[in-house]
Amino acid sequence: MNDYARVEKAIRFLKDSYLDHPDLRTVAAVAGVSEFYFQRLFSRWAGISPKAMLQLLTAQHAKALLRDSRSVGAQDRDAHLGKWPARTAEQPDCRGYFPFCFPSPSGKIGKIMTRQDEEKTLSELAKEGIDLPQLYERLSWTPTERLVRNYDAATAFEELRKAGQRHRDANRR
Amino acid sequence: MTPTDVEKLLKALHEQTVDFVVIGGAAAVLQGSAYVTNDLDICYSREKANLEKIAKVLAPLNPSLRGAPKDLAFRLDADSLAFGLNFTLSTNLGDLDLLGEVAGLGGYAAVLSFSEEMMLFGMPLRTLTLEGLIRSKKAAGRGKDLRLLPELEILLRIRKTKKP
Repeated sequence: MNDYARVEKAIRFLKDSYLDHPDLRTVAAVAGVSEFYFQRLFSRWAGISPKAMLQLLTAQHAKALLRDSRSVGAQDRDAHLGKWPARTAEQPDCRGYFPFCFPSPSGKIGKIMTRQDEEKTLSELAKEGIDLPQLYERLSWTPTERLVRNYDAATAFEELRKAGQRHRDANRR
Repeated sequence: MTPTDVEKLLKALHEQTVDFVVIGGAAAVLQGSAYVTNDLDICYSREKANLEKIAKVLAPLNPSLRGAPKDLAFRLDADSLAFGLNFTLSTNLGDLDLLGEVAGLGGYAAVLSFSEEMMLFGMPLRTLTLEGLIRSKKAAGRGKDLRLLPELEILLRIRKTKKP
């Protein structure tokens, strides 16, 4: 399997299973290479990391649901909040965001806000297509970083679109 | 449009001291939105000297009217800019929209009053504020504009609470 085929297979897998939030090891295994090699291969080909691609697909999914005027249901809320109990470096802790920003649905603020209140507030925002942890992560970037990541993502989407077109054309032949 | 293309375009405009404000999707991205855009929108001053500077920047980039028939003759110079107002262009560096007026805000002077300076690629450039973005998106009123509003309003709320 050549590199193109590996990346294409990985993208197809990500598109099919992004709501399950597969980790890097799983996607690399699908592509048949090591995590380290896959990370570099994917980033070089797509212009963004596999993790960033996963985030984009999730965001696109939420936006598509909004476009269809359907609310983000339990399954989608789980996709956004599924890793909530296990707060890791990759899943920024939202607790600190609330004291100065969002009163909880029950009117409590700050440290006394319960996990249920937080999840309810986050899911309300998710209905508007807003992922608060990701929003805060973007705010930690410089304006130049925000711009570069945007155009990287836009370029990657364009590449994906072209790859899809090439794939369809090849199948027709 | 790649990040390098955007940098080149902004650098060229900056070096020619073009009076402009970054608006639209790119401005939303700069303010922290998750919106993804593939082009660059700017609002420009319609002073004659500024039109000449814009024409000087864009001339080497082979600008054409986006979506127009390929055989439609188009030459971008200060005069053609003066005759029009809003231009949607394709250039060698990607799609660039030049707006003389922005819905809900008005001409360059009004847009400038709703702008703030940001360091982009090491250059001090002006971009539309969140207040300006919200006002313009409400006025434009298209689906894609209105869908952006909740996020922009959250960003504004965060910014207001963070600043003393």
